[in-house]
Amino acid sequence: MLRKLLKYEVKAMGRVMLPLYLAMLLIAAVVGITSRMRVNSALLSVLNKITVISAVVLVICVVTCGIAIVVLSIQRYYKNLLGTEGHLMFTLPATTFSLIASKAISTMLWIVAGGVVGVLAGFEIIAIHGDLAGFLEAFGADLQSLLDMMNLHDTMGYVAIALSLIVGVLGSLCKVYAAISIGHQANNHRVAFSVAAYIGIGIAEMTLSWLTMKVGVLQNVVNAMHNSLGSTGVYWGSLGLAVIQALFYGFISWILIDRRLNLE
Amino acid sequence: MEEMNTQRDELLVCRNLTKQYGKVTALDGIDLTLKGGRIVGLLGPNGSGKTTLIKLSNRLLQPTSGEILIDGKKPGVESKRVIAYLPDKDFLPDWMTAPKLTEFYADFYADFDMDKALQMLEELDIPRKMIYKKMSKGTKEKVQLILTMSRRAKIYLLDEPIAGVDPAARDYILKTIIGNYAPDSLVVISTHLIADVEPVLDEAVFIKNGHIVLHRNTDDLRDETGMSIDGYFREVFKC
Repeated sequence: MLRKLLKYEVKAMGRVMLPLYLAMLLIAAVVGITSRMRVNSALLSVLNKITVISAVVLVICVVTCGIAIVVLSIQRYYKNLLGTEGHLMFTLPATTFSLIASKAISTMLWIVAGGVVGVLAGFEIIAIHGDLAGFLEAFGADLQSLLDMMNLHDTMGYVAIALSLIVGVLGSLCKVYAAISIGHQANNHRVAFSVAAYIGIGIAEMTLSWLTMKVGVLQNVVNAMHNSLGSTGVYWGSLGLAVIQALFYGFISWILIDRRLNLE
Repeated sequence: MEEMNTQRDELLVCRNLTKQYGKVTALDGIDLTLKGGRIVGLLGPNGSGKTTLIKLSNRLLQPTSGEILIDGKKPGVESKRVIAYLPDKDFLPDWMTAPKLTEFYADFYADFDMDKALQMLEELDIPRKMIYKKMSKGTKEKVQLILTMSRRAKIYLLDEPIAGVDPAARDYILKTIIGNYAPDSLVVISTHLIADVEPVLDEAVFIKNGHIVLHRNTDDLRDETGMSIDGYFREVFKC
């Protein structure tokens, strides 16, 4: 059932995200082409303007993609599950877990796709404009010095960083779901209560991290991870924290929706 | 053996079912048993608790106390397989066309009859390429009804299926309901438009202020009171 839910969820989000990603690639191509044509061109001033304008549009497009994914992920949870469409979704023979999971997985897929499209757009500009091989060489050298600075020298360390990034985003998404689910428990003004719940969760998180630092728990954990797993231990530790956060907020969302759903 | 069969026929059972919204009691300890093979009118004025009862049956609301059983089980994934639900709200994803919506239903409900759905879409001239959002209110309601009645479900819960449509469409909707449910299924029609649904009802349940005030066979009720169900309803609920 999760596979079927995911199919429709990816499609629903794709209606908005796919044209934006395609636009990003298209505009990146325009930036690359116009900046290449500027060399030895009699129309230098016109091409300069087009390049600048298309570069600005590209930045706007990137920002729009970021905003769209945030708004869409909230809207898909709030409108499709807790709005009138919930009368359909919650009467499908599917578990609450699969309904929530389909939203989270679909959002994650579109975020990862956005990252890939962003990198492709960058490479596209460079490839059209000039020397991609030279750029990749320079980029590789820069990346290596960054990894040296982070004291990362093994594949497992890269895996830990990549996973903690992905799970961290998932945790943040589940935090939003949890806040909406808490707000849904109110009889009136559910949006306002959801916002208040999100702020409350943020304050609780900050207080908790301040307390753990104050009593030295966090430092002890970091030291223990470093001693047992070496330089990458810290990254595995941050992955562990991200997993705990995702599980905790995911559980809050699930229990509130599964046991206390009130589609009035 | 006979008792077991009777229990098996009991498709919707409420025991001391109560639902409160804050301080407001929508349903107050109701007991109700509905069996298969019947078309039941859940009749009452606005705010009497009809929609609340239907939503509780679908687990869209949680009871404050008491119990509700669907085909012998508590509402959950299994009960959702056997209930075809038509809400009183615009509940379909507005970006899909009617054929895409039928595919959606066919994907999720094993009892969905695609041929029947496509035939009804054809008969009612539902536009194939128009997305749901752009359809008129009446067309939307027809699409909702087609999707619901194209299922071979054990229980049909229809919440105000004729409230927002013109009299001609009402006739079609009632004809669709009667012509498309399996003989051993239970059909519950919630409405306050009694006169329109009266001819198709086998049983009437009058609900008032969260209480079941009457649950009778419609023929018996007409014989005993000498009135139509609509007339008797007006008598019971007069202001």
